[in-house]
Amino acid sequence: MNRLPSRALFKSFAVLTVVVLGTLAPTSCCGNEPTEAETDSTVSFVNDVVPILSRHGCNAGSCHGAARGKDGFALSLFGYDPAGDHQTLVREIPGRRIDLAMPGESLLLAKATGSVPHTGGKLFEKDSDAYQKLLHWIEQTAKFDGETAPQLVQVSMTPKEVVLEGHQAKQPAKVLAIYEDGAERDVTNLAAFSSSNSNVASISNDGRIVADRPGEAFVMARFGAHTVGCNVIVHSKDDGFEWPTGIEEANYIDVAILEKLRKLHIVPAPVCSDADFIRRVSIDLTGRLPSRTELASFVVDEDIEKRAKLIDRLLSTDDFERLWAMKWMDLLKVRSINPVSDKSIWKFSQWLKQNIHDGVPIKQWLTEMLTASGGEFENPPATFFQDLPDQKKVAEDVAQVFLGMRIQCAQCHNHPFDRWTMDDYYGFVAFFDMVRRKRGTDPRERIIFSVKGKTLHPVTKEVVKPRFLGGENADATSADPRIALASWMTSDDNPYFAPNLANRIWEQFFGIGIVNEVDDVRVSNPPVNQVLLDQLAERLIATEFDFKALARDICNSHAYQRGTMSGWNSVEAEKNFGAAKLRRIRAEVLLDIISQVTETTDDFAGLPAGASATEIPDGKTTNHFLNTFGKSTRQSVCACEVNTQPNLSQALHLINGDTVHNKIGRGKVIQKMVKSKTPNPEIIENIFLRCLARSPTERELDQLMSELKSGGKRNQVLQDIFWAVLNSREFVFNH
Amino acid sequence: MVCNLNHWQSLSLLTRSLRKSHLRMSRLKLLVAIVCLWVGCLCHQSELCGDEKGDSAKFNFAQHAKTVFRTHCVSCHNGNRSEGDLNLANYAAMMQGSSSGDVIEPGSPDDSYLFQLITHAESPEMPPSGQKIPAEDIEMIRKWISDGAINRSGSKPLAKKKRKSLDLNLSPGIRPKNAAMPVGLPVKPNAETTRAPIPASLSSSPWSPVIAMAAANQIVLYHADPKSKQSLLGILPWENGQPKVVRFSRDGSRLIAAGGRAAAIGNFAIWDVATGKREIELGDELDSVLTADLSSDGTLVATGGPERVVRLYDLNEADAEEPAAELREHADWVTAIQFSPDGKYLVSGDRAGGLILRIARTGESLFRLASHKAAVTSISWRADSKVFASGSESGKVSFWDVSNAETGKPLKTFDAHAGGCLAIEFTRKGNLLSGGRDKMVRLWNLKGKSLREYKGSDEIVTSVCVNDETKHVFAGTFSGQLKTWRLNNGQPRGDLATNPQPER
Repeated sequence: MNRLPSRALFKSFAVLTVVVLGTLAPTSCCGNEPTEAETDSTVSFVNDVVPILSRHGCNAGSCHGAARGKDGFALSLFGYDPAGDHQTLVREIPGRRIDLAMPGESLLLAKATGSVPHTGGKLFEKDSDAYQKLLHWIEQTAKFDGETAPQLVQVSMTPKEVVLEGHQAKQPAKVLAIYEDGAERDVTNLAAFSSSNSNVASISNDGRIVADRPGEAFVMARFGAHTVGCNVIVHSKDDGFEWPTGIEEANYIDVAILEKLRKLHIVPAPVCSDADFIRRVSIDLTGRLPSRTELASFVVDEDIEKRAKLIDRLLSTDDFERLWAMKWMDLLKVRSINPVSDKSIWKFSQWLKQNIHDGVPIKQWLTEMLTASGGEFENPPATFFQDLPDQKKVAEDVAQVFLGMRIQCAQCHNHPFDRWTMDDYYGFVAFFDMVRRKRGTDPRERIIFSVKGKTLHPVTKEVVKPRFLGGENADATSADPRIALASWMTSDDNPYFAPNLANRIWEQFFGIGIVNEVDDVRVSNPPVNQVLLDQLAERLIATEFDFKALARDICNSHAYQRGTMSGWNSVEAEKNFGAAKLRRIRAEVLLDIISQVTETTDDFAGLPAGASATEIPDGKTTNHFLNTFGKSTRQSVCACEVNTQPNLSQALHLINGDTVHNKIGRGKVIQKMVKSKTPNPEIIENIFLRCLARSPTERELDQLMSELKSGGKRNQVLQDIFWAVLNSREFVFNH
Repeated sequence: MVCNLNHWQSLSLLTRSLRKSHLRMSRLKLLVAIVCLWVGCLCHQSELCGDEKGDSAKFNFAQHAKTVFRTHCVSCHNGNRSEGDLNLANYAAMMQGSSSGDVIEPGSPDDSYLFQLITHAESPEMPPSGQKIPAEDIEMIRKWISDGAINRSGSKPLAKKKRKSLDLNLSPGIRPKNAAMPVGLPVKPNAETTRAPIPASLSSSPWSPVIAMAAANQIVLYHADPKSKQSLLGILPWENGQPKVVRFSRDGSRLIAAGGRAAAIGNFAIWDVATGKREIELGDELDSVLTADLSSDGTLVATGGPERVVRLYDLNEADAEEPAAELREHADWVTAIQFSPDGKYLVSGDRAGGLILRIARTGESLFRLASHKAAVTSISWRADSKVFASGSESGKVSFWDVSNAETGKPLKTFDAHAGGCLAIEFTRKGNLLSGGRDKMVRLWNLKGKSLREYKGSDEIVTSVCVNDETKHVFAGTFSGQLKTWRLNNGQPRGDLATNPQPER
């Protein structure tokens, strides 16, 4: 039937038309208003813009994150101060860097896309996500959302550790940011990546780990103020590695180390001979060589426990105390220098030695020292504060020595490679800020005292409360905040103190720390074996920081007792304690053992005749030999002060200098043996045994005997042989 | 004899004696006599009978200040050990001053260097231990300086240094016969903006009721009476980037604007105000010009910007395209520049706080003026060329006496705007208008006293100007507003559009 469409039909048709036209119509009328999709995604300054700036290196220390920025445009290093950055970008020069009225004209965008000259280069294209986000942020009137934006609380990287087989083996990593409201966000494309050893493994901008050569690397991701990492071990493909059976573990130390070595596909070196062991452990524990009788009886002893018993014996000697007191004195910068007098230093060193001798727990004498007040003569530990003119230096030194951390960088900006901010730094300085010094009635004495006052943050000018590193504010009610600091420092909960001490003790036995350098603990410098470090720290805490107990554990481990290794992976093996590292004996000990084997003594200023070099209390007291061999001048707390790097001067001094030559002459060791009609081979054996803890090999003996036969005065040739042995690397090194 | 007695006693004696006397005096003579007696007694009393009822004792060095100095200062500032060459052990030595000059300005504690240091208003803060001396002592020093910093009680205050008269001489700056007023200028908008632009610069004609605003891609001319019938008088397009500064010439006949594209190009242009014709367009700098001025005789243009160079263009030169001089004394961006009205001097300021007084013709630097610790944002000369002012991001404004410029020290420095002073301009009467980051516009006298506040801005004030013909104040804000007030009473007079879209 021919009918007009019904009303209902007409209506629905009309509706349909409207709907169709509606979808086809342009979504905006004036071209400038954001679309629906865009308004939904508000760009956050704190969580979007700042990470973009970090990601592209804008706020790196080499660019606008430098102290003065570049050409007056300064951002906070790695974006630690979003409020300040916002002010700088939007309001410092209104209308230039950000143009709210004409967002596309903003200089920030022009520079980043290279459309105007930019020393930093072109960072991204106009069609990139970064550009679009920044543009939208400006279009959304460039707000600062520091108050409302969810705070970043944690960043995690997965995987946390990975083993890759073969060159170019790949592993994608993911970086997750977790905010205080529980939101999780994949920020892999916003994190800044780096590798500690790109020869072994590198990581690309999109988070892909790529293996190169066998070894170990730590790849890191930085997002916000957080740095996280992944341990990467690379093996050759199909290297046919098999972990041999029968490798023994003496204690928990070995368990941790062997596990790591296994992962690394490194077979540890076998345990060293008895002769090597007694020489090594004598030097490390007492700073002396074993006598010939000690050596002989040890080697022939059939007791299975003989090494353990030797260790116990050496630990109970005076020599051990003396040696380790010296190591502490290096750390505490015990040296007389204007205005620290000789007498104060003497008293300080005696106080320290006494504490070690009496077995006073570290917690106790450390607390006494950190909280010391009064005149140095009555209260020797107060000398610790004496030398340091600047309270900031005191705080830095305390952090470096006792916590193993270099917080110096954070004095002026947030630490670039670690988590420490300026707030943390000044919060730590605040513990020491009220310490003052004045002269006592005796001009050689200074008096340490505290005043009342406040620390001001140099940037915000607000009062900074004393705050434990990585912790909360200290209880401000006690008059002297140092008391709170000492208690925190030595508390079992302190996450830095015990590992640092354990690490330093470890380094004395291996020449390399679990964290290396020992005073460079930071997130981007992880320990080679976290499990090992944790267990050593626990042990220290459990024994009330008895470093003798830890030394005992260490010396008893197979790890300490291993021989050396050579080969393409020996460096990696040494780093992971699978083989012993050759260590040049440190200056004081070397002088002492030269004196010991030549049966001579030395004179040092301020000490009785015949005192050993390890007894020297004052960092200023030294002689040519000690300086040449790198004795610590104790002018800083850097672990590098004790220098055991070999160099030419040392070799020349041993060869031509008067120390060895004169001591051989003075001690008359050779003369005595000749006088008592000892035959030459025995004399030679004597020399080798006392210096190298071994007999000469047949070849050596033959060569030396022929030297004797070939003419020249017997005494002279024998002295030359003695001199030659003292010049040998085998003597000068601990092996 | 009478004066040795209490004056009441003397009066009662007199009246008793008069009553008793039989002398007939006229009332008037009696009154006069009594009055004279009173006056005479009172005068004598104060001189001979001590100060108990006279002025309260003035603070002096011997009884007051010396104790404070001896307690807190003299260990470092004495005859044997004079840190900073300052000896506070005795009055004469103290008045000698230090290696920084005089430390006491009698009568004016805030201008006394010593007082500034002990209140920690300036550095090096004294005492150097970081703690201030007790508040009572500071107060005592303040009173002592206020009272003239005299030596002993009864000493005469030191004569204040005589300064040349800085009274405003209004005769320079003569009203031109026909003060230029824009007529029939085009009003076609040249800018497309997503929101109201920030007025980068404001300037008022010195002799006509017209102001100019630099914003977005144009210079907008408004009638300086916001309620006038035709408010929008013209829009001058700016082609290359953004204009950053606009100024009327001193005779009001020309308008100069300068700007450009950041990090790309910088130039300036000069228009004839009456006709709106762009007469000159010059400059090919490597970055946007941030500040510029035209000399009073219209022959020189000075520009400054991020290249840290002050350029002088001589418009009379055949090839005026090349700058006649490029002056490189500034170590940071040149952010403010202005010729003196009499054409003798040029002052330029930079982002590091540096300020240089120069000979206008050649740009040669005469003196470096030291005051500002943060960027100089704005410079303004008073109409008689005797005094000029500089404003800084430190929030302070300094007044400078040109005749005293060789000392390098300002006449007066005062806090104008917390957070930073962004724009200043002298009024015809010699007061200073200023705007800053505290969202306020204020009017100051030469003593640094705030005469008036112009309230109502919701954001930081980035530019100001004052039209003395209509007596209105204008200010541009960060939120893209152009606000107006009456100069003499601070009454708000509404806002003008910063990106006007006139109806066709």
